[in-house]
This record gives sequence, structure tokens and C-alpha cells, in this order.
Amino acid sequence: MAGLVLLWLIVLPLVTVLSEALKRGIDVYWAALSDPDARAALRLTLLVAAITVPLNTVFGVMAAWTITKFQFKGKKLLTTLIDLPFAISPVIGGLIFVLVFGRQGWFGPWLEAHDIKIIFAVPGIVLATLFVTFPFVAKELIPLMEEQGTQDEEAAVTLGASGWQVFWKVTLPSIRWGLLYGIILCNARAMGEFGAVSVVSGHIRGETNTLPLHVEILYNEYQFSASFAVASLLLLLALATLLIKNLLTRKNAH
Amino acid sequence: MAVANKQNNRAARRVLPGFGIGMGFTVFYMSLVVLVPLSALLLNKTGLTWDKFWSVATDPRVLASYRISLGTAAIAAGVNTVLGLLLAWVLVRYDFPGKRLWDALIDLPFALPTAVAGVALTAIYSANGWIGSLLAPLGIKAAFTPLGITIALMFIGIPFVVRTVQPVLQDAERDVEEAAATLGAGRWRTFRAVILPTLVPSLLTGFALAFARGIGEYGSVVFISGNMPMKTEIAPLLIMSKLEQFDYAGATAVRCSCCSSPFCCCSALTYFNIGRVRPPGSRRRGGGTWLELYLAEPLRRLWRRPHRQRWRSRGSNGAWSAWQASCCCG
Repeated sequence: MAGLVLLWLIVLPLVTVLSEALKRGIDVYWAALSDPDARAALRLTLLVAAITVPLNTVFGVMAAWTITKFQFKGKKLLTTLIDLPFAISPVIGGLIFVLVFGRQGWFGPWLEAHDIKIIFAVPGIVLATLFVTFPFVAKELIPLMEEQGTQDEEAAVTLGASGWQVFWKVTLPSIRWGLLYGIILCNARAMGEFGAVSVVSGHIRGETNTLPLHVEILYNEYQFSASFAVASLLLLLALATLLIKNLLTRKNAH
Repeated sequence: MAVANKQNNRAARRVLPGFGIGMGFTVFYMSLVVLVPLSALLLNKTGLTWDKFWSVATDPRVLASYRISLGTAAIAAGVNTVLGLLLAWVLVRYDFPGKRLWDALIDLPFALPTAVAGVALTAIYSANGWIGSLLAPLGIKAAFTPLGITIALMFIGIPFVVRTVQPVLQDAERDVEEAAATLGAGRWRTFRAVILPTLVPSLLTGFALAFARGIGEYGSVVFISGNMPMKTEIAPLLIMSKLEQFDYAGATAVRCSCCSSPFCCCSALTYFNIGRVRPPGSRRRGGGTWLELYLAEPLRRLWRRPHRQRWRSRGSNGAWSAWQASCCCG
């Protein structure tokens, strides 16, 4: 019974993606993936992830360091504010950037005068993705570093280590798996984000189309095999994420 | 002890480097990416008069979208509570080949980009899909009806229930069940009188999480809903279509009315679940969550029996919280 539920709810969609993608043969599958627009979408998705993940990782480490190693007023407020993007529907996450940088937005006229495009262009996609993936690394590190306390670092400092040395030699080794886990989650979300990106992208083929948006466009054009071929790439990403997640949790358990 | 702690903290502030730069960067980056854009939402609303706001927020099409969002999310969360309990039960209580793999697969809806889930489900339930073609002779249409939306939300919501119930079930003491059995209780009675009461709080939490996620869901629903105004148009979609018509004021109004209505607060609470809050008087180190405080806790009080308080919240700890986070992949 439970097996049936699992098969029906979770395995069936998984199998569907693969079978629909390969339904018309491997040639069609390859053709769909080597299509210039699909390539451009893949490149853009990788580019966006390559920009947003490191930025949010640096932020996450800095924020976790500040919040867990020091006492200050407003700590709780800061922690809550970091969570804010999770509390907001991704569609709204895109909308706010349209309100700021769009044609009728705050900086709209200025940007237009200087011929800078943010909305319906790559910078907008990067900003929206930054917004939705903002808390991942910080959220993963804060509980971990809280648990570890500050004693090791204090000992290192009294022994004469500099700030960098403390971070690289004491803190980083003890948080590396948690950090990696946060980065993996952040990356999965950055590559798979649909709602927020779809608001700001403008769906220009070959230019501002990410992989999830490309899936949508192909699907709406009734190119099902191609759409599922692209979707299968994202499915692989999801499966890889699950695999790494499980390996990391097992590593943490030991 | 407290004094020692305070001294410790003060020492930490003095000894460890990097407070200034860390704090500065954190606040600067957060303002740039999150706070300034968000303030646009609040300030932009003021350009809207109350009359216009009210007329947009109570437009029949908008009201219909709320009804659909709420209704489908509630049904999906309800079904998920039962199915999730079943799955969690089997995963905790039985051993079978490939258990670890099945267990890992439960998280798939969290990890899968929602657009992929959307197209896959639509393909399955459309008239010539695997399940849709079975349902068609019976006169049941799944894709492009509220039924389809409900199924999509079930897919999205199932891990919430399983992952909240699982740890509680794992911690439940089997001796109590065995004692009940030796005292002559049948299996059903043992389940109803011994097991279920300990699970109710986590089931409620799972329900609330799945429900809140369902309301805000966008990616997986767009494809299967068919987006017919008044029939299968959900609230986030309406915001999107207003945006596409460059009706920014309208989109903001739908957004704000949506936010002021209790169900969106509920979804906000869910997401805040990630930020832990210590419930008043609680000495638990991790503290509770917003959701537990404001939703699950009152509900639990309704259910409170002195001997039934064995629930520990683990739903908000460690790795799982990050997965809850990735839940908002709308």
C-alpha cells in the first residue's frame, strides 16, 4: 500500500520525465539538448549559479560568523531578517525587482537614460536568484557554529593566530560539511528557480532564458520531447543533489 | 553561571577578530539584496488609493482565485496527512530492501525544480497520459481542473508530512504499545489510543506546512491548472498575469490583500519556521518555531492530555530545516 503511494506520487513523475524525454528516440533527445537555444539556456543557468552561489556563500559565512561568535543587540532581528526571503513567495521576489528597476520603477528612468538594462536582462535574473537563494548557506551554518561555540577560536587567538589563520585552520575544518551542504542546496535552488526568475526574465530566447524557463517555453509550444529532454537535465541535478545530501548527512552522523 | 557566561561573552567580543567587517558586510549585503527591494513593495503600495486597492482585492476573479488556492491546498494537505503518516509508518517500522533509497526519494519533491514537476504531472494526467487515459473513460478529467491542482500540491506537500512525523515516530516508545497489547488492546485500539495521540502534534504541523506551501506554490501548478479565470486560476498566477499586463499596481494590490489575509500569514509563519524562537518558559535549547508557537501550540493545547505530552520538535533542527527552506521553490 505504502509502496503504491510512493510509486504513484513520487516515482511516476520521475519516470515520466525520462520516458517522455526519450520517447522519440535518442536522436531527438540529443537534438533537443544541442539546440542553440537550449545551450544558451544551460550557459545562462550555469552563469547565474556561478555568480550567485559564491556571493551568497561569502555572505552566509560572514553572517554566521558575526551572529554566532559575538554578542550584540538586535541579533534576533538580524537572524529573522536573513530568513525573510523564505517568507516571501518567489513571484513576489521577482516583483520587487521589477518595482525597483522596471520602467516605471524607482531607477527606471535613470537606467533608461543611461541605456542600462536590468529587468528582462541577465542582471535582473542574477538579482532575483540572489534574493531567493539568499538565506541558504547562512541558515545551514548558524545552528552548526552555534553548537561549536567560540572556545577553539579563542584558544587559537591567545596562541597568537591571526584572524585569517583562525578562520582557515580552526573554524573552516569544523564546518566544512555543513558549508558544503549549504552550498549544494543553494546551488540546486539557484539552478532550479522558476517563479522569481520568470517575472524578471522577459523570456527572450537565447538571451534571458534559464533552463526551467526553457522547459516552460518548449512545453507551451507543444515540443514535448524537447521540453522533457531539458527537464531531464534538471532532474539529474535534483537526483545529484539528493545523493550528495544523503552522503553528507551520513558523514555528519559519524 | 550567568555571570561567568557574560564575562565569557565579553571576552569573546574582545578576543575574536572580525566583528566589524562581518557585521558591516552582513548588513550592507542584506540591505542591497533584500531590504531595499522589499521596501519598494511597501512604498509602492502607497501610490494606490484605498478604493482602488479594495476594488482590486475584492474583484470576483481575485476572490475566485483565493477560493481555489485555499480549497485545493486544504484538500491536498488533508490527503497528504493520511498518506504521509502511512509512508512514515512503513519507513520507520519495517525493514525492506532498498529502504534507504525509498527514504531518500521522499525528498525528491523538494529537490526537483517545480517547473519539471509541473510538466511531468501534466503529462501524466492529461487525456492521453498514463493516468489521464485511465481516468478519461470514467469521465474524470484530472489535468486542467481543480483535481489536477490538488494532485500537484500533493506531490509538493508529501515530504513535509513524512519528514515531520518520521522523527516523532522513531522516538515513540514501543514498550508502551507492547504494554497496551498485553493489556488486551487490539491493534486498532492500540493505534488509536496509544500511537495516534503522540503523533497528532506532528501531523498538525505537517498539515500546516503542506497547506502553507500549497497556497504559495506557483511552478508546479501553472502547467496542470490550465489557468482558466474563475475556475482554475490560483492567486500567485493572477499576480503574474497582472504583471504581464504591466498592471503593477494591480499586482501589488493582489499581493497585499493576499498578505493581509490570514492564510498568507500562515504561509509566512511556515517559512519563519526556519528561524527558531524560544517558546516562553521553554528550556529546550533549540527552542520552538514560529509555527509551533502560533499555530501548532494552540492546537496542541486542545489535544492536551497530561500523559500524552511526549512530543519533541525535531522538525526544526539541523539539516531538515534547510530542506524546509528549499521547499519554497515556488
